[in-house]
Amino acid sequence: MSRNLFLFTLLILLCLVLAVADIACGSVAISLRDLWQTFTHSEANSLYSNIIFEFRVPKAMTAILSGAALSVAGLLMQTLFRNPLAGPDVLGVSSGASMGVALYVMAASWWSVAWVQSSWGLVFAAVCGALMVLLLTLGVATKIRQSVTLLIIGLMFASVAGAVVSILQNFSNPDAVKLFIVWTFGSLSAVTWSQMRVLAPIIFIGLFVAFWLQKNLNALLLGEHYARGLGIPVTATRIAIILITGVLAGAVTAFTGPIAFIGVAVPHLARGIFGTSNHRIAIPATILCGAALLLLCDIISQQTTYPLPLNAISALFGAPMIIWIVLKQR
Amino acid sequence: MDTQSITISQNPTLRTRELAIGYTRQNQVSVVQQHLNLELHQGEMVCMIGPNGCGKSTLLRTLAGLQKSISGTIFINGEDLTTLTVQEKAESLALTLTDKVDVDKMKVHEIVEMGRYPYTNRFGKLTDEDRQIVANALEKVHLTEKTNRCLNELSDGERQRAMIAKVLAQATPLLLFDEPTAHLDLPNRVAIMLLLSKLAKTTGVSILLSTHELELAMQVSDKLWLMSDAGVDVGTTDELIAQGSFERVFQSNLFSFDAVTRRFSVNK
Repeated sequence: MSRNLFLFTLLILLCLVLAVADIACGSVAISLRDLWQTFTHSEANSLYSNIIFEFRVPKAMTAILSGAALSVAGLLMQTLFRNPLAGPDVLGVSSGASMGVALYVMAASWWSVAWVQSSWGLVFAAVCGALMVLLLTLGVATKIRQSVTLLIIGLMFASVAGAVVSILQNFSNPDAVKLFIVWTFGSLSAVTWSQMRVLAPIIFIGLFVAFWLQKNLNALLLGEHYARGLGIPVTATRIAIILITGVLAGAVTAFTGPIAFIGVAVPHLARGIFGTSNHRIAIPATILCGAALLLLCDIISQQTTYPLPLNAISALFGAPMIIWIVLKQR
Repeated sequence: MDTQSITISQNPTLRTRELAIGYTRQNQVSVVQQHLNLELHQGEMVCMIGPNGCGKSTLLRTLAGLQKSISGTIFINGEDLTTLTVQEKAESLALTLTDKVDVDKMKVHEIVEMGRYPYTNRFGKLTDEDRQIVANALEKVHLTEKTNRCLNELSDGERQRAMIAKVLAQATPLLLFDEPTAHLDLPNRVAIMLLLSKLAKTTGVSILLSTHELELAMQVSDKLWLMSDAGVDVGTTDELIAQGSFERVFQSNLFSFDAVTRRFSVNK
């Protein structure tokens, strides 16, 4: 237990350091001293304080929340499908969320533009899209047990969602198309404080439910029949897992755009570091690893004159990880 | 003595009345076994034997409430199984299945602790009593030294013993095992059967298991449920030999049963 405590302390410290680094890095580099002064005397430098409080802090918070949410969504899906390759982007859940956003943004442009401003509407559309793909995948997964087949079906769902988006674009006005395309680049800096008031509570609720389900999740590791034998309401648990996975992955995708590979890679990282699949440890470990990894991705993406797309950085981390998992499975 | 045996027989751990088992697919009912009136008493170990496809696994799953019966009633400690809640079921019976448990990075004690899930809070927090029960269960299956090892590092025999420890930790009056000796070598098969037999005797739990280890089952079980397409013959090994049940159920030109040596020998 002391080893776990040590690792958790280390990870929390790492997250704090990375968060500070993430706030300091960017097109305008801010020294640690200026950062400290801005935090202690907020009137000292209005330019820095504006950059820090209006842009950098919400961006760092978004990185932490999104990293945690996507990674826990991945962990829940891997337990639900009993498949190490499951994850929100791999099984097309992110694509489903994208389709929901596309429908919302572009279809809304036919009625009224004011609608698009509502963060709740955007989140609702993304969550609906994510849940739809999750339910379809679950339907297929009950018939097919093989990991790789499920992966291919996820890719097919993603392709269908992509096709629907393309067709929608054809019928939409240019402004709506532009709005959507900017969204697909994936960015942590798009979240404003008012949107944070929507995003943060949704993610906190989702993570809390995941903690609440830890016993049921552990029992599901043994398989459906054993879980039932231990008095776990399997069907209700499955529905709860699907709902919170859809909400976590959908809400994040709605605000940041699709971020690939974090969801599938981080749970493996967390279980590997702590050497356990027990959700009592694996859930908090996944939250911390996810937050740290996405902060790191964001810091790296800020190192060039024009910020690199976040998706490119996360793929560099995540794609080799998936290949490693497939190889380990033989 | 007489009154005592009556009170026991009035309240068996497990009783079925006119039970029919099988599958329903697209409104097509296929019955595997029917008119089953079986009883399992406290401290008794019963081995279920019979050829493949006679419905051993189906019966176990039905008795465990994992599969619906076609008709008839199952009583556990006198209560109708269908009226029990999920929680009550988990406190009345525990089982191991032939489903392969393939859990990466879970320690033996974590698996056994899951046996305490029906009694713990939402977060699975263990009390000192729970820990003691888990330690006792591990000791009974002789896995105390391996408690901190990962489940998938164990041999097949040790893994099966770990699953039995999980069932013991659940502390239920009825234990069901679907082929607990499958994929094991001879010493492990004998060890597991003797272990289960001893558990029934010493702790008073009722054990029902299915197996293909015919000769082993004949020696260690209190009673046999000999299943075939014609139904289930119930009795001790001696009774079933006297009735000629073994010859009838395992009828074949390839081998024959010798009632004196109690062995099957291949016809060359």
